Amino acid sequence: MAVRYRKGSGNNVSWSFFCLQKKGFFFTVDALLAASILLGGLIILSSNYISTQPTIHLNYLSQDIINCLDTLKINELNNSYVDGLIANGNITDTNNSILQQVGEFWAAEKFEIARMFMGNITEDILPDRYGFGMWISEDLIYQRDNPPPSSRSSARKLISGIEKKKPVKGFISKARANNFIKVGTEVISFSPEGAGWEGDFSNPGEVVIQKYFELPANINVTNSTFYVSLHMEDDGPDWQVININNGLCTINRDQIDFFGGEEGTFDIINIAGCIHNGTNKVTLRLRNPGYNGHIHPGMLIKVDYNINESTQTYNNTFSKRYYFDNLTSNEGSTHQSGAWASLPFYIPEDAVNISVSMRIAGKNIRNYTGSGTFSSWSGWKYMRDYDYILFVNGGSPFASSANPAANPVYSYNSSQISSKLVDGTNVVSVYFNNYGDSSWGGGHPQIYSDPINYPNNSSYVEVNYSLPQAVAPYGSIKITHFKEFGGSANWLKETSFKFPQQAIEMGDVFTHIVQQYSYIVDVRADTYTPPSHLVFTSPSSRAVPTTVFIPGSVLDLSSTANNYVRVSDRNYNEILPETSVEYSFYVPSFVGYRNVFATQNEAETDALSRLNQTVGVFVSAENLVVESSEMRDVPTMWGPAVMEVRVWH
Amino acid sequence: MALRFTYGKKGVFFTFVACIFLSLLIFSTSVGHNYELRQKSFVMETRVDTMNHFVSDVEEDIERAAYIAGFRSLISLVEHVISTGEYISDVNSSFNELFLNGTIDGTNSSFLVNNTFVDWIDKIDDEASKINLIINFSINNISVTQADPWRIKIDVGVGINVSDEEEISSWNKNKVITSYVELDGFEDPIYVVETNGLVDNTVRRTNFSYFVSGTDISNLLEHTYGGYYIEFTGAPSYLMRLEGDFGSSAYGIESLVDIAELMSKGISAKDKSIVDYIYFGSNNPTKYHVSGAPSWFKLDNSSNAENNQTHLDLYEVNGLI
Repeated sequence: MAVRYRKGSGNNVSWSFFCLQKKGFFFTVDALLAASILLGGLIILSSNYISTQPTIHLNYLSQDIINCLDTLKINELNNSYVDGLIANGNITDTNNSILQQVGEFWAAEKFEIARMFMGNITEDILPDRYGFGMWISEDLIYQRDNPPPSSRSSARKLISGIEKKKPVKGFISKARANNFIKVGTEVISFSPEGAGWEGDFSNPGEVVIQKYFELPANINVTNSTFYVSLHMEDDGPDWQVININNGLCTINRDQIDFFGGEEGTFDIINIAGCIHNGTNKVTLRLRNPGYNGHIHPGMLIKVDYNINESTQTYNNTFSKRYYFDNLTSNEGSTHQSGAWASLPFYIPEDAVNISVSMRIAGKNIRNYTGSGTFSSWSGWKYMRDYDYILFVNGGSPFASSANPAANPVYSYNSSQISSKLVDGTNVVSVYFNNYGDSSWGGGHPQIYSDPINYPNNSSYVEVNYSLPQAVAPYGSIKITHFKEFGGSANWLKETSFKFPQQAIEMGDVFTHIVQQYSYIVDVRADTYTPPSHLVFTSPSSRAVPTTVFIPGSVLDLSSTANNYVRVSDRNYNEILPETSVEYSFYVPSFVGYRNVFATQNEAETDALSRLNQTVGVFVSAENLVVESSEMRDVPTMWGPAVMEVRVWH
Repeated sequence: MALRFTYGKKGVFFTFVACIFLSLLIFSTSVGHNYELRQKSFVMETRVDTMNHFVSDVEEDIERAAYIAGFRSLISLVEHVISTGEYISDVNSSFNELFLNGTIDGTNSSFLVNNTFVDWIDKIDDEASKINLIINFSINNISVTQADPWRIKIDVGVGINVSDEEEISSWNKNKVITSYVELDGFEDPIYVVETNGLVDNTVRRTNFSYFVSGTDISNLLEHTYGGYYIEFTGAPSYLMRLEGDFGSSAYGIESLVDIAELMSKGISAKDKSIVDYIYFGSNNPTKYHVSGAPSWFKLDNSSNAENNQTHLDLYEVNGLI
C-alpha cells in the first residue's frame, strides 16, 4: 500500500486525487476489515471462555421439588394410585412425607412400587420439557428420560432412620417364664442321734426315731433315694429298721448292705413311691446289743421332683423352726437307755437382727443318783451331775442338769444363746442320761417332738434373722445342683464345682457328709486347691451334722472360677464318695427388650430364644409357659440415606 | 500544501484506527477479567448455596435424630427398671447419659448401640466431609419433660458450626430441637417393680367415653381388665412413675389394678383401693366397694389436684357404693 504522488496536468491531478480518494476508501475498508477480524476473534475467544452454566432456575426447581416432596404428606395427596397403596397396606403411615415414604419403599426393597409412586406423584407437577430423576444413596428410584440433558441441577436431603434392607420402624419383644416345670431335689437330712443301748438279741436296747417332714403339695415327686448311714447290729435276728409312711415302704436290717461286714453301714436304697406330697413320716428302729445303735453322718433322703413354679416374691426376712426328731431310747435286757440328738441350723454371714430361741422337751428322764462316772469333754464326770447336757457350738456344755424332772422342758431365749452363735453351721446337741459310750438312763427316755400335731410342745430351735437384701434377686428362679465327690473313700476328700454363667446370684451351698464312722470332721472351702478356709469343724465328737453350710463369701459366682470343698476326719475315718455338694443359684426368669425386628413374630421368636438360652438349660423348653409382650414402631438411627433429586432440560 | 494536508489526514486516520485497536484491546481484557470475577462469584454462590442447603438439611435431620435417640433412651430407661426391679433415681440425668453416651449408670445399653445422638453427629460429620465441610456440634442442654399426659417432650439445645474447608464461609447457629414421643405402648414401671416382675402393663389410653350407665358397670370392668389408663391430675405422670414417685402431677395418668390377675400369678391381694398408685403405694385412703363388681374392686375417693374431681366422680360410681 505504498503511496506515490506525481506533479502534472489537471488530468493527472484528477487522477491523483481520485487515486488518493480511492486509497482512503481502501484504507478505511482495510481498517474496518481488520477491526472486524479482531472483534470476531475476541468474540470467538470469549465464547470459548464461557462454558455452559446450569441455569439458575433449574437450581431452584430441583430444590423446590425436594422441599415439596419433603413437606407434602401422603394424606394430603389426591392420587388414586396412592389410595391403592394405602388400601393394600403398602403405605401404613399416611402422616409420612412423600420423601419418607419413598425412603421406606427403598429400605424395604420395594423398588417397583417406589418407581411407580414417584412417577405418579411427579407426573403432573413437572412439565414434559424437563427431565427428572430421583436417587436414594446412589440407587436410582425413578427417572423421566426426556429430554436429553443439556443443563442439569440436583438437590439433596439427608434422612436419618432409613437404610436399605433395614426396618424403618420395628418391633421389640421381651419374654418371661411365668410358669415352668422345674426339676429339683430336696434333701431331708438325719443328723447323728441315738441310741439303742446294749441288751441282747432277744431283748435288745432300741432307739426309735420318728422324723416328720413336709413336701409342698404342688410338687410331683419323681424319685426318692435313701442314703442309709447307720451304726447297728449286723448279726442276729432280722428286724424292720426303716418304716416309711406307716408301712408304705419298709426296709429290714438284712436288706441293708453292711459294707464289708462292719456294724457301721452305708447303703443307697431306692425308695421310689414311698415319699409323697404333704406330711411324710419315717420311723427308724436301731439296735446294737454289743454297743449302741445310732445314726451316722450321711443319713439322708433325696427326693427328686418337678414343680410347676412361677417366679416368687422373695423377702429379706427369714424365720424357721428346726424340729428335733422324736427320739425314744428303749431299754433292753441290760436296762440301759439314754437319748441324744444333734441338730444343725444355719445363719448366713451377712444376717442381721438374729434371734435364736430353743425349746428342749424331755420325757421319762431319770434323775440318776448313783456313783457311776463317764469319760467326758474334760476328764471323768459323775453321771448324777449330768442327766441333761446341752451343747451349743462348743466342747463344753451350754447347760446341764443334775436333777431333772421326769418330763423336763428347757427353754432358752435369744439373749441367752446369742453369744454362742456362729456364722454358718451351728450345731446343738442334747443328751439325756447318756454321754459318749456311757448311758445311765432307765425305761424310755425321750427327746419329744411332734411338729405336726403339737409343734409348740415339741423340741426345736427357732431361727429368725433378716438379710440386707432380698434372698433372691428380683424376677429370678432358684436352681439347685448336686455334685457327688466320687472317687474312692478316703479320710480326706475334695471336690470342685462352678456356677453356670447364667447365674446372677449365689444361693445356699451345703455339703452333705457321708461317713461310715466319724469323729471330728473339718470342712474347708474356697477358690483355691487345697482350700484353706475352715468353714466348719465338729464342736465335739459325734457332733458331725450330715449337712454343713458353706458361706458364700468364700466362694466365687464367676463361671470361670473353681470352688473347692474339702472334707476330712481327724481320726482318719473315711469320707465316702457319696458325699456331695449341694449348690443353688439364681437365674433370671425373663429377658428384656433387645434388638429391633421388622415383624412382631421375629421379635417374639428372638425373645423366646434368648429366654431359652437363659433358663432353658435348667428348665426344659417344652415345660416353659412363656408370656411375651412386644413394643412396636421403634425407630433406629439408620443411615442417613441421601435423597437426591436431579432436574435437567 | 496538499501533500501536507494529505499526510495530515492520514495521521488522523491512523490515530483513529489505533484508538479502535486500543479500545478493542481494553474491551477484550475487561471481558476476560469480568468473566473471571463472574466465575469466582458463581463458584462462591454455589458453595454458599450448598452449605445453606446442608445446614438446613441437618437442622431438619436433627429432629429425626433427637426423636430416635430419645425414643430409644426412654425404652432403655424402662428396660433398666424391668431388668433390675429398681426405679430410676433421676430420670433427666439417666436420660442425658443414655441420649449422649448410650450408657446408664456407666453400663452400656444394648438399645443405644449406634443409636445415640453422638452417633448421629459422627455420621453427619462424615456426610459433611464428603462435600468438604467441617461441622461441629455443641450440646448445650438436654431435657426430658412431660408435654401432656400422653407424650414425652425432649428438648435438645444444640449449637451448630459449619465452615468450608476453603474458608469461603461459615455458619454459626444455636437451636433448640423439640421432639415428642408418644407413650402409647410403653410399659408402666410401677406394675413390674411392685409385682417382682410378675405382672406388666402397657400404657394405653382408655377408649371408653363413659364407664357406668345406670347400674351397668361393664365398661368400667373392661377398662380395668384391659389395663387402660385415664388422665387424673391427682395421679403420677409417666416420668414420675419411672422414678417410683407416687405423687400427683398435672399430667398424671392412672389405671385400675386387676387384682384377679395378680392373684393368678401368686401375688397376695391387698385390701386397698385398686387405683394403681394407691394400691402399690403406701397411702391407704378409705376405699369403697363398687356394687356389681368383684369383691376386690374397691375405689377410694381421693381428689385431683384442682379438688374438683374425685376417683368416684372420675369412674362415675358415686351411686354404686
